[in-house]
Amino acid sequence: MIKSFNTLNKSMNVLQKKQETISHNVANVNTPGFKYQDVIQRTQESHDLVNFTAGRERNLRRPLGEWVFGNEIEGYHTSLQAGNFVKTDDPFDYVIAGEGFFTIQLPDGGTAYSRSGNFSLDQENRLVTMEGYPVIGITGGGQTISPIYGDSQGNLEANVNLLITGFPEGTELERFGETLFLNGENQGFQVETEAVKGYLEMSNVAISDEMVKLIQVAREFEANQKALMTSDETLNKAVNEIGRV
Amino acid sequence: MNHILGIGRSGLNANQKKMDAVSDHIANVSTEGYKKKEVQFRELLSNEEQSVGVKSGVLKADYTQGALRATGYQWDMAIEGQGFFALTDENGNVFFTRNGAFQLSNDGILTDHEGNPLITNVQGIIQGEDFSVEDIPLFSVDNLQSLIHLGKGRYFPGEDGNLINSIENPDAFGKIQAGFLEESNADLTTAFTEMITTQRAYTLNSRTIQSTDDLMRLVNEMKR
Repeated sequence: MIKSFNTLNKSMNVLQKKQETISHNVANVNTPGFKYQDVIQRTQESHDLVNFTAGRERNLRRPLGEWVFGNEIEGYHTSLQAGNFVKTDDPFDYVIAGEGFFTIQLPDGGTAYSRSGNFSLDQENRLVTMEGYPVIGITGGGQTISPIYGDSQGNLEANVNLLITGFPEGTELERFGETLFLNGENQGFQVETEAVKGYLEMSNVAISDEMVKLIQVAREFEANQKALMTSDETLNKAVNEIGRV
Repeated sequence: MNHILGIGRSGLNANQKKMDAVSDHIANVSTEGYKKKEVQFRELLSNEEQSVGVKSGVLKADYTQGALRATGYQWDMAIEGQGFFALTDENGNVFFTRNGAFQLSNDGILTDHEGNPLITNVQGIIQGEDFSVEDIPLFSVDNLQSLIHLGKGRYFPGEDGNLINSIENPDAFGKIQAGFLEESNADLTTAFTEMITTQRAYTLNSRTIQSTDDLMRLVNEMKR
């Protein structure tokens, strides 16, 4: 019975993480460039149980078989499905019509990737993201350049395009917040897709999916809670009522 | 589970701010020279596997041209194209506006309806001299997004004073049309659509809060 408490406890922890992820997705339903996340769970590895019997065969090691103690979070999966494109008429909004990411320069020198093309000019006329990180571009000669300068008419410097980076199929990018992703040592490769001006890619959150997941989590949690209360009741009987005269 | 409520709350706050901007937009659909504000949503920073929610803020303004409306009044002016009128307030600070509803004061100075004088010369204000509408200079800054909104359709160009004007750079500016006023660049169709989307997003976030609340109630009821 004590084992059941542990199992249910672990299960509720996983459900709580799921609730958190769903809430985060729903909160970002209108954030441009946002990619929704799913929690992936798995059972923990099974362990072999043994006991040492008393009685005539004292201290004999007897294997009892395998036992799984509960489930846990295996990881998170980010869906890279494209969101809807919305026309904004802002000359510094871009979308990538196809695969690839915008390449952003982080203040510590690292590179981040994003699908959110919601750029603007900062005080020094550099093309930056909403958080102020400069966007990396590429010149006609193939040289990467950062920062890119623009003017108040909505044009960038001549002969400079935005650097679009692609990754091999199935690469799992690390989330960094602010709709940015990191990729460790793997730099990715330059992709020839064009960045289209005047449009913005919206969030790819599917609201109906998220609502259904919310219902599932709530009911699963309720089921776990009922199981926990039943275990509690059984244990109560075993501890307090067996052998009562 | 309290931080999950925090995520829902961040969603509510972000959509509330968006709703404020949309309401402002609709309220100012007839305000001359009004330029609508844009609210941007950003995913909040997460550390490793902890999600934190969303944040919104007014970061950009939309300076697209509003329509021109003929009034026939001699001192009403509208700018067709880029640029702003520059006026001085009572403390002597310069501010920009697109609202060209001016009048002639008793001293012969062009002022707006609150008495702030219009700068009609690149060096300063000319008093009592004959000037034509074509000679009135327009001003602007390099980066429109650096203008600070003062409210009442006024924009402050910042302390640097790095202003460009139409006398030195005629190509970067538009023309002044006398007898016209520029209408608000608010667009009711967009505003109403945004209102519906924002309202939906608000409802969805309150739904996640309700759901989390249910879970927490279940936790509390585990021990009778």
